[in-house]
Amino acid sequence: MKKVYINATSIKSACGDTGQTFDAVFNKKSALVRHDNIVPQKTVCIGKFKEKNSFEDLLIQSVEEVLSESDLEDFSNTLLLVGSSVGGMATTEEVLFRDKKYDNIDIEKHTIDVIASTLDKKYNFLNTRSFSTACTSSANALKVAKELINYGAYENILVVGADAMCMTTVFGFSSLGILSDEMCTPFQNNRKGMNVAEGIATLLVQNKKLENSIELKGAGTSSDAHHIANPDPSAAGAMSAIKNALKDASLTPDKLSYVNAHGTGTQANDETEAKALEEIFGKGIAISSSKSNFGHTLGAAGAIEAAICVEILKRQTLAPQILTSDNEKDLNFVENATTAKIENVLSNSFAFGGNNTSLIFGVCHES
Amino acid sequence: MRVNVEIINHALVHAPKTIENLNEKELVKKMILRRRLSRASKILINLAHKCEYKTGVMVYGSAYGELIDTVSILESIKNENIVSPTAFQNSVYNTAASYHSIVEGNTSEILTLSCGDSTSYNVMQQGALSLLKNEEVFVSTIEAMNFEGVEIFNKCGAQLEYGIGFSIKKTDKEANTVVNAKEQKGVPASLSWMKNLYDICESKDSVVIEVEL
Repeated sequence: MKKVYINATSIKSACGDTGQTFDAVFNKKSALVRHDNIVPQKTVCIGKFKEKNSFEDLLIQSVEEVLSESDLEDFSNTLLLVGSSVGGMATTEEVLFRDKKYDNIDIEKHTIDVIASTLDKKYNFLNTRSFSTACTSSANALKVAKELINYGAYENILVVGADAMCMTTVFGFSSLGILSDEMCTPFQNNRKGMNVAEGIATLLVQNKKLENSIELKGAGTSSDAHHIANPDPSAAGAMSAIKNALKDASLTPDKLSYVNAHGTGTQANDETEAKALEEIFGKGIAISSSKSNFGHTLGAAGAIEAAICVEILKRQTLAPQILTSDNEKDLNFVENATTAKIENVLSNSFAFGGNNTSLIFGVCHES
Repeated sequence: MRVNVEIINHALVHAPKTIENLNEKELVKKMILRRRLSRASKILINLAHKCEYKTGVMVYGSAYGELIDTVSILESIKNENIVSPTAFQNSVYNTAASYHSIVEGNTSEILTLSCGDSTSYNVMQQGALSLLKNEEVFVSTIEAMNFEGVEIFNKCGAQLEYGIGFSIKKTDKEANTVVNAKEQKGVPASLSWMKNLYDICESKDSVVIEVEL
């Protein structure tokens, strides 16, 4: 099996570009904003891009940044894997809510595939493939990238997680009663729910180690087989994904130093995830959720949080969680950015349908 | 890298508008669950049953996803009505495969792909990759688009409900079949490749294909 390396990353989030997002994550800043004029008679707190550029411009910027950071001249020998939960929905909504009719909607621009086809037109990838498993979409794209490189099927894979802000998701999560009117407070008592957000992350996954490579060591998946929207409260599915990732990485739980939790701030997710983490790692492992920094970026979340894990390993600094003063469970939530010896970290993503994906990233020791 | 894939079982259902007799009462005993199923979910459960596939890795594809529920949500927002929580829960692309997992108690990996017109071939590529770690995998592609006003989008005259599924396994046998992506009248483009494979399966006892990962 060939080893798998993350050799370049780029993020676009409500916090801003890659540097601004890392600054927010390590310094406990939130870019989430309350709005009174989106959902009738409700205040919602969401994470929108600050930049005036279009989603497509930001998408291309993100890919361009990774290309310039990489050792590649172009992407002609690179497979593109995209993870997205809404694809071109924002474009559909713009036309529909403007015209009040469907006539001018281009159905091809509505699909998940529009992200891959937009990038393919510009960069001419070796091939493209798009995944849409709701909030695990780009985590699953990373899992598949790992497998394809493990087996030697590809040398270079570009993984893009991308989801734009849509009224469909804002109104949808609001209808489920889990959209918070304030910045989310993952794993805290009296938490009020999650914050829908938009985001893009691009990661270059390769079979060769470079000077600053971080290894993608393990990936595990599972299905809850329980409920279409709620996690299995026994946490069996979440635990299974984490255990499968540990097995894939040939690591025992004590070899991991930190978990970047899915941590959405909903009652159900956080309770289940905390249970799974305590069961597998005990109370000691450092945990934080980045959702209070830039919100829940849905299909992009796995890729964005993977890029954060890569940065944590490079800096050898644990990323804090904005609020840790009223923890529901007695677990080790990171209060402040802390320098530490960090060998391996876990990133969790959980989705509608009980779709669970866990990824393990680690420091490379071999030359 | 290439993987030789043997087709174990194959199934197809389709109708110009709505497929009748998907046998959901028999296949999904719990009424409360059955009533929540999307059309694509019912089609997938039927296809998997026909292929005798209950648990294990599932790779599912759809170019347009759960369009019926998506349109319902968009209409609610446009008309300033309340969005149905069930419509939202059912609007994600992995809805059909997730419902199948709930019905069958399948805790294995589920992947959902959406790759435009080449969705069904990409699903098979992903299925072939999954076979490197799993003995048997179920691959399927479904489009369910029977909603009011669909004719604005359906300019090629595809049938509005179409689903194809295969249970597959890895094999050392030599490939005996080459599948093309030639479009067929009435078949949604995203399913063309699988429809051509299905037609070959109908005419041959043993079908082995070579899939490039």
